Amino acid sequence: MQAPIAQNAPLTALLQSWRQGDGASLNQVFEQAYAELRRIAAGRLRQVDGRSTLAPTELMHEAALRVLDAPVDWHNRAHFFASMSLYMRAVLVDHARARLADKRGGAQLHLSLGGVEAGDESGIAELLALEDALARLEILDARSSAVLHLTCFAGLSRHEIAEVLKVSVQIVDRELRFAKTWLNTQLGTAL
Amino acid sequence: MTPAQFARVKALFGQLCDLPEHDYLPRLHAAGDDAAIIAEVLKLLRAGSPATDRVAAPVLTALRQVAAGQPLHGTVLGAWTLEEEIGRGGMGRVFRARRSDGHFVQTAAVKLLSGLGSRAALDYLARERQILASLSHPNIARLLDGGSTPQGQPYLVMEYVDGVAIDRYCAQQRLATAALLNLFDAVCAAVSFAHQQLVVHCDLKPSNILVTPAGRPVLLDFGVSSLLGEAAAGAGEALPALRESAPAYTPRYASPEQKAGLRSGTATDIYSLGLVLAELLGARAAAADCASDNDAETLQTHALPRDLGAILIRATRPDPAARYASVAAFAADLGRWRRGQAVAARAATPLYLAQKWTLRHWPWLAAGALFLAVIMAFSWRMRVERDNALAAERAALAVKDYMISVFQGADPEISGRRDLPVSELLDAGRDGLAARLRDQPLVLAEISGILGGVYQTIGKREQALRLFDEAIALERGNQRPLRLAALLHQRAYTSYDREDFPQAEPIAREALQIRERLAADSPQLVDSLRLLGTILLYQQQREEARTLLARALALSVRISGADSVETARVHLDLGRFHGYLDPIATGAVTHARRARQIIEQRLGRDHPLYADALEILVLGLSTTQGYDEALPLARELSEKRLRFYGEISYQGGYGLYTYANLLNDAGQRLQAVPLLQRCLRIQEQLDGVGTLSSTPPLQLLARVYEGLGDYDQALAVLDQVAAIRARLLPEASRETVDLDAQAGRIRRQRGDLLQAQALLEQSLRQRSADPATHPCRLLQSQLEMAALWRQQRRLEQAQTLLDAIDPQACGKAAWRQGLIDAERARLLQARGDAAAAEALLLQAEARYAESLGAQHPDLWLLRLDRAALLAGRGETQAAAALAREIAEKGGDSIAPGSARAQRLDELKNLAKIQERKNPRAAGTAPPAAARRAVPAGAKG
Repeated sequence: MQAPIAQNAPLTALLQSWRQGDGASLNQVFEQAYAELRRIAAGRLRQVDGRSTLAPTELMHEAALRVLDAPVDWHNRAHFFASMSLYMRAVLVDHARARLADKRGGAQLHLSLGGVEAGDESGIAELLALEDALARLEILDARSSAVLHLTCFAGLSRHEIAEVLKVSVQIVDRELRFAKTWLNTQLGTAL
Repeated sequence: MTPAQFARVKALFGQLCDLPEHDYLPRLHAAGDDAAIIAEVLKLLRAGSPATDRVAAPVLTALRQVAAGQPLHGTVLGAWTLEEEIGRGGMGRVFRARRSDGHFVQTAAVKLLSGLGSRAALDYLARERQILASLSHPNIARLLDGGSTPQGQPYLVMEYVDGVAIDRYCAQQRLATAALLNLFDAVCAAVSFAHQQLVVHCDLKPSNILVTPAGRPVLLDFGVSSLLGEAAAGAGEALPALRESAPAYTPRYASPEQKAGLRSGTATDIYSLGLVLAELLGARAAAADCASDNDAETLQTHALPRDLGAILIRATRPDPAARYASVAAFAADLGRWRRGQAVAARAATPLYLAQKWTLRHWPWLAAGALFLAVIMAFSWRMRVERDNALAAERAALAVKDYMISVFQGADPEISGRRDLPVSELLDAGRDGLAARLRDQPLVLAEISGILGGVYQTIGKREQALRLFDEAIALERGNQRPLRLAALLHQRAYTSYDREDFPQAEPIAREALQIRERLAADSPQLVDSLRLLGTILLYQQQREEARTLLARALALSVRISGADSVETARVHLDLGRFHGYLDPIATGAVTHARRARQIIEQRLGRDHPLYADALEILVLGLSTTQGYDEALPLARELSEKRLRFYGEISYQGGYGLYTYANLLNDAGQRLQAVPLLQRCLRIQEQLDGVGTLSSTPPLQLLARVYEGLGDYDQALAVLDQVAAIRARLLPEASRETVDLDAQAGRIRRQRGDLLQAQALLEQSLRQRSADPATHPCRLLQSQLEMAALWRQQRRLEQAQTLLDAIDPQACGKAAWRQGLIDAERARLLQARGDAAAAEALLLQAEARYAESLGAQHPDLWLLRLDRAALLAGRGETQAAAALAREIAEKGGDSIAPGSARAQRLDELKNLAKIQERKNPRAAGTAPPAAARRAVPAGAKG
């Protein structure tokens, strides 16, 4: 069976090509959008007493609205979010690793009001486990990994994922179902 | 697994995942893949597909963490645009910000508080911001604005101060001490100003005290720390960010009460200011040189001038109530030091509840009862107890308005008097109270109760009683029985504190009944049991008192634990109970030892409660004649009290009194005299000359002089006591009877037999007629009367009286029996039966030795009688040898130049005189034999 090129091209490559082409005009606003994203996240996620119902999409949507002068078409939006999600993933993972190192590094005194939240450590561990699994999946099956990534980190819908990956929605559904199941066996915990 | 194998697994999974489970195996076998692949597919098929939300959850968590800690410059908040981040701390991050609404250019510091609060917390912040914004002082950075971001994150906009931290400034400018204190004075003035506006800082440290290039100190973040703490506490919930109920603080400059998580007030700022000043003066390692925030760190004040060191120590005492009463007082003392005047660093804290001369201490009510703390506790309680947020807010505002009106126009700095500003303010403000709050009976009841507590704390008990009564009357209509019980309890305590036990009793009972009904198993019930038990104890209602205190102990052990401080306090009450009611208070010793052990473990030896335990222990030991153990403890007690509370303090004076009392009991009376004189000086500085509170040490001093045989001095001191009492407390009481008895005894010993007769007869009559007279006092009167009649040669009367005495009436302590033996012996001698007299004297000596120890000076003084007897029998050598030994061993209780000293000298010289008169007769009694007689007598 001859797979289409897109199937095993890494997500980064896909997005890279998009940004060099029709996404080029948006490239400069990524930094800004990302800053906005963080601020919105700060507000929304904490507002509801730690139990967030906010999806990354909403976040990124709001961020995009704040930095983009004109409404973006659906096609660009999905790519935009997908790009931003790679960014976000890298930052989150770096952050988690730094936090873990901090904790191992020892006696940090947390007396202040802000401080570290309860449950941080398990959150960090889960994120790193997810990252690890996604990285392994990418080697075995890049498309499956990309679908999972876009679901978790970009919060994209199946249609949007289909658009970004240039595959059908049915394929996205299948990939996602498989990827989640596989992840379930990999993380060793009943999700 | 290779990507190819993986693709195969994935394909098989895709084919099978929608089929029923029993189809899996047949289909897989039919496909003919190898076992590893089949196993993998089966694993997947059985694992199931989790929900997308669940898979994405770690991402959301991580997002939240990142979101909390990222920089924000460029953000627009209201009229402000954030520029560079200029600081970062426990409470959040600080940005320099520019006013960006185009109206005018202004730079400010925007403090973005980390995390977000709930609606309630944000509302609270918004309200309190108004108060902080009104805090306008040249040395306090103004709060300009505030709000919350659209996402709900609170921020405060403050005046931007272009300056450096005070420690850096002082180092850069190489400020001399005088200039440094000048600068610090301005800091104190600002803090004091804020305190008068009822705002505390709670996080004072060098980095919060900037000095501008022009040399003006400016305090940052005033009220912010406690504001946040209050917001969290007031909202009554654990907020994601504002979840600590205690204000944020910096460990290096935090007071013990902050570290302990207790509520902090103005005393907290005094503590931190003390540490900052210590650091600036080099009495504390600078923050940069200090590797850690060492709790046990002590100030290195030895390099400083002594008084300045004392000021720092006073400001940084662990017990908030032992610090300066106000920042103004702290600054005033620094001012006195700069002007070369005597400092008050070791003076009393008048706000500290002081139970002066009785054995009653209630540290559980007294601790930390600073005026402002009381007021703050009020608004805090209202918030905690509120059912209705609006009513509570109205109440809190009413209190605040009221308190501000009380404080208006007051400047405690101007008045050098210690406690008057507060009480005068209270008096002035109290009158308008009822009128202002007529429509708010709940609030009026609360404030009346609180003010009653304040009056009680500053020792104005009459006013306290009146306010408590008003509060109780209001509260009876308020349907809040537990609040009513609390007021009744306080009211009863005030009566108790005035020693009006009959009045206190029914009120304490009512409080106890309410709490028994509604607050079983509460610490408040323990308090009620303790209070009523103690009141009854002083009413001599032994059995009920014991029952109540035993219940208090059992309950406290159950709810707080056997090793808790609360339980230790009940042990102290029980110790007091035994110490007061038992002639030989072994129970006091047991309970005090237990309390001391708990307190030492829980609070350490430097806690005032530890000294209280020592006090009861000393009391108990002194009734069991455990002087060897008790004397060092009493010295420790006295030193601790002086150190905790300062030289000029009730507690310091009382510690000296206790020590002197024990020295008197132990017969070391010459040492007791200077201690009592010091104690009296303290008392006079505190309360003035000739007050009632100086009578207990005066009475003890009279007893000491009497014990020393210095009757003239003893009478002179007793006359002072009588004059004070005649002026201030003219009604006759048991105490006046005691005074008469003491005066009669001294006059008898001095030889003023006629005057003694009147006094002794009267006191014996009154004591016999009063059924509540302590049996030991009655015995003492009877013995005195017998002695007087003996001296008057009314020997038959004396004999009848002595025969009628029940030797066991006042307990079985051997030395008391010895006292009776000795008087019988003197009567025998007066009747001419020297041999029987000597035998009885030896028996008395033996009994003294048994209970007081062979080295007790009183035992040696008792031997004076036998020396006289020996001399009377003509055994002058033996008499002289005994006299010499008495002078040596009993020297601690012989006043130089007194009649007793003269008599001893005569006895010592008797042998020489006789030797001169009749050398041969003197030689008949060999010295060795005479010396042997002494130890033989001691063994009896």
